[in-house]
Amino acid sequence: MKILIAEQDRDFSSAFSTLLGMEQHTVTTVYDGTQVITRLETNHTFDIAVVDEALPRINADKLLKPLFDRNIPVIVLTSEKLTASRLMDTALANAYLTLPFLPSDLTGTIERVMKRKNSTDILRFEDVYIKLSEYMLCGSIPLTDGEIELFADLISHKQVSGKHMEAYISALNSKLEKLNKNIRIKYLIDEGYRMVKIQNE
Amino acid sequence: MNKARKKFVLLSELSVILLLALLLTAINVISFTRAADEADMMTERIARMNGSLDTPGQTPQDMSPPNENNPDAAQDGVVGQKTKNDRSGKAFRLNNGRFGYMGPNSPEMNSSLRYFTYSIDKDGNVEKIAFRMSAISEEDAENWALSLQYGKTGWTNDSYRYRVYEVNKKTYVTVIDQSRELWPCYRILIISIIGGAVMIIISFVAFQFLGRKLFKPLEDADRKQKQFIAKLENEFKMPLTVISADTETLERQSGSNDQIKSIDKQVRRMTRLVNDLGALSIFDESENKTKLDISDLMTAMLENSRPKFEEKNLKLSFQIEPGISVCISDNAFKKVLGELISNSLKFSVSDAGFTLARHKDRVKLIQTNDTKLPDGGCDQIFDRFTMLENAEGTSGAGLGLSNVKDIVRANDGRLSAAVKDGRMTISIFL
Repeated sequence: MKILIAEQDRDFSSAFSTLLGMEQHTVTTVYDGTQVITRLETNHTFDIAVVDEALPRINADKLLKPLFDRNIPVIVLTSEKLTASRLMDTALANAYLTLPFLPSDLTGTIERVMKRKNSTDILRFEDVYIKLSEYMLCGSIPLTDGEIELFADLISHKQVSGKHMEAYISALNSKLEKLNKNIRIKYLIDEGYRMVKIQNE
Repeated sequence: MNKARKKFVLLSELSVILLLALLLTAINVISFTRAADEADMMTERIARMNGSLDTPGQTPQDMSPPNENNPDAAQDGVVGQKTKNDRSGKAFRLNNGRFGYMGPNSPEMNSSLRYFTYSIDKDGNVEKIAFRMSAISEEDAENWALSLQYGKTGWTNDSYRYRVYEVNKKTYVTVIDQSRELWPCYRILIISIIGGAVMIIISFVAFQFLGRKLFKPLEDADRKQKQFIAKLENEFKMPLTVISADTETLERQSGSNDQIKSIDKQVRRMTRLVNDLGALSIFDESENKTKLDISDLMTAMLENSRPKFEEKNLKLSFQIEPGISVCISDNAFKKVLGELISNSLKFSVSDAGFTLARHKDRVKLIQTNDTKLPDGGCDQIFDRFTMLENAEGTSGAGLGLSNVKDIVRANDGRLSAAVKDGRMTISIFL
């Protein structure tokens, strides 16, 4: 698998390129935003990109669109939990990792994102659907990894838990509202979080 | 920090108001009692002359102790005792123990004095002794005299001083007009009120200014400390992530050994510490607060953590009063409850309980669990980097509950912790 790591900190890049190299991945490391654009324009293709939120020269926010257009899934690295939940509402990234994290967090996330990307499965609840390979809610609103996982847990009636669960729930709820769907995630006593139909107002 | 400044301004202002009030009250009390004393001196002078300054044969200059001159007056205790004698005036000690000064008996003074005296005999016949008034009629004067005849001395109709005494078995009532003499007193009173108000306003402005000046270095230090912690936290994040990646690489290259395991364990420990430090800098007073339905949120969070309690064979129970809202930021409340949950997971022996209820106009959030800790208060668990011993499976840096304290304080709440009869209770009032 071809992986692009865009991170200013060279120690980080070399440590993770060594580690990912041991897992038979080809890792390209770049240190600022312009290099990412150059690589993309000189016909380099990548299976997945790991991008630091605060890259010099060109910010991650502006890099997401070109990567998204080339259908390259993106994992954004951030040092602030709050930014992560803020970006989740709008960004085109597939997943977020908050520093500090363990190597298994990154490899696990890469694996999960790739699996989704290559899957043909469609998750569905009533008229709300998610095509896994698209990372889109009803084909129009981009979703993140965590939101898709939450959706999957909800339709399989699993107990919802996890680090940023509440953030994912409110993000997904606001996206459902944006789509004018009458489906929301609600907390039901005795049952936990469930997707329910709401009355149109 | 903002709160400390407000407290400083308020306390300083209160002490200034208190001092001003004391001082101005004292000045005014003195000025009015002096005026009353002086008026009493005048009425006394009239009394010595049997009700009229025009009475011939008796001049106040010759006034000696009253029992020689006027036995009737002495019996009634009207007059005082001579203490000092000089050419221009006399200092007298009044019956109430205060000293008064009787001015010279100049004809000018006598003629400028506005007064009247009426005598009333046992049958109620009223007789005019002297009348030198222009503001009131003789008829009014008579009525005043009748209404005052059972008094002794005092003020009547705002600025008239009266004295009642007995001469030849008849009750004499002398009333003098003191409005001109009282005017300076009123002026002092008005100046005191206006001056006091102005002083309060000026001092308030001054204290605001002073408070800002005094607290600015402290506020700066506080902000710098928060920035420092935030920066430190960020600076630690990258190396920690890199170390853990390198450790993983090493482990794969040369197999696992005790040293690598130790490095891995220490990295995880530091990661937790850095995350806790981050929470310290995030929650301050500026965090945007919303009306949050904490009953629902609390039920959801506790339900979600049930598996963790079951994993450790702990019985989890909670009573939550529905529909309680508190003005607090979403993140802050989650942090508080999350820490309480992890605390009860750490310290419980067999069961843990949570209660949320209204308490007067506040909200009471209580977490209890059985514990092996000895009885006593244990508020020190809220201190930074303090871990209680005997915590089962100690992990963390002792920052969690200190974060809780910071959040609760920032939201004007109170909290305490104690162990009694083998149960540990943490109470939070929001």
